[in-house]
Amino acid sequence: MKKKILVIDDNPMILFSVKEGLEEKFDSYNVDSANGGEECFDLLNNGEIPDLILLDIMMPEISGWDVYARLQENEEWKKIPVVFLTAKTDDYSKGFGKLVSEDYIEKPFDLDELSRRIDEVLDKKG
Amino acid sequence: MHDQIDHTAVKAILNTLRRKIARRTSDDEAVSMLSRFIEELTPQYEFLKYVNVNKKIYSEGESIWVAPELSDVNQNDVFSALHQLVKKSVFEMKEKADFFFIREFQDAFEDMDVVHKSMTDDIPLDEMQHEYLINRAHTLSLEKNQLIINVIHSLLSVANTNLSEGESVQVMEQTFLELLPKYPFFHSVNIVKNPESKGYYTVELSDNFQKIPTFQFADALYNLIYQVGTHLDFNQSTQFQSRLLQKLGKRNAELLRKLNVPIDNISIAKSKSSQQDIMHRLIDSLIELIGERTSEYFAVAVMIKMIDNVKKSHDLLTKIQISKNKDNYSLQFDNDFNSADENDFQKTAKSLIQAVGAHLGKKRGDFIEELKKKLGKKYVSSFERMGLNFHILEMKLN
Repeated sequence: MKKKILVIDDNPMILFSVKEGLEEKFDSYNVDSANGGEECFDLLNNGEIPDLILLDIMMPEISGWDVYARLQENEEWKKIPVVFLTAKTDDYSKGFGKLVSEDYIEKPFDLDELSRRIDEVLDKKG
Repeated sequence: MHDQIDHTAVKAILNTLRRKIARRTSDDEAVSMLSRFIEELTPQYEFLKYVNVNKKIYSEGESIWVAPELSDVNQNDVFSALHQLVKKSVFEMKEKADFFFIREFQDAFEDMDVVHKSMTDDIPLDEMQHEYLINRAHTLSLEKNQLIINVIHSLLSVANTNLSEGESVQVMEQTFLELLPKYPFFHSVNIVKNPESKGYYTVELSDNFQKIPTFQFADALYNLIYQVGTHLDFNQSTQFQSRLLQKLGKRNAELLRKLNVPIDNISIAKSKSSQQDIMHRLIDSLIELIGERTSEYFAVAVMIKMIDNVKKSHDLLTKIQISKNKDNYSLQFDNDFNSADENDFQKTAKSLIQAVGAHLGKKRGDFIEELKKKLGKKYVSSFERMGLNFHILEMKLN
């Protein structure tokens, strides 16, 4: 059974590289992508519930912080593990991001490392 | 004119007057003073013959007896006589007739509507006190504008012992707002930050306080001092009092004493912040601090999660609920939150701060400093009094 991942980022290159990279290289993931918060919520509202969300922080319309907060307001969505995948590397963003997310991965990232950390989170969640 | 007041009401008024005088002099002096006044006034108000002042105090502290015939006398004449009696008492007592004499006297009749109204409308007690104090003010050469500026400066300095300069000004401005309904002239007080003198505030008056009746002026000063005192978190009111006297200096203190403002006996109800206030402030400060780096929406989500985590080891947090939506949040506390053990409270607060600062690495020092700023001196002091040492907390965040 493939693990269902939803990656949310406003950068199409990131969406492409995560989707293609994870699906092609590992064959154990099924990756959906959303170019921002609204598209993410559309997918979730349509019942596309992933096993894990990879969430960018700096996005133009709805920031990753607010996407996270909104996820927490839905009893089903709040159970989805969130991993921040971001270029925000300052101590405060990392510190506060790590408080609530399952992991905080800085860009640029290595696909093997990304896969390892996704698996770690999913294994932990059982 | 009000409903008739009968001889029993007059008896109540006179006995109250005697008790209020006795409180400031002695029973004997009060009785002898009133006997003398009645004797002096009887040629003008013949009906005072129905009043008998006895040196012996009867049951319920009464020593004045009034014959039922007084009920038939013209009410205006009765009020006029009572007016003269009270006026003579105020002037005879001189400085012992402090501001509270008239107020206590009026308040004593709160439960007797007819009498209370007559004491307010038909006997101009406030005017009498005012007239008396104006006379005294002239003899004091009182410069009200300068005195109020000096008092405000002194209060700001006292506030600054516990608070930052900005917070001290906030306390003053808050106090003026609270007192405005009673003393509208506080509208004309402005505390202005002087950019040329670092952190120094000047007090400016946009109206002339000289024209304010002295009685009202002194009453306002007392209430200003008292109210500021309740806002400041001094351990004891004596501490507030001694600091104030020190800041006022001898001359201002002496002027206040001459106005009968009881600056040597300020009994301030300790306004200790409740545990609910302190926890509310802590959560607000943490949300603000996190929100500035992320978003407020996220910060609230973080706090909900942190409270959920920390409450596994600190039951007290089960008594707090955060409601939120996209634009705002609110905190609800269970009714018994304030009765929590202070030690538990302190440990809970500490764990919450530690939980939020857990991943801040080398920023933990900045985090604690910023948190202290957000909390403000008053709340930092409240935590420290409970035994929460922010410096040690910073170390523990290692």
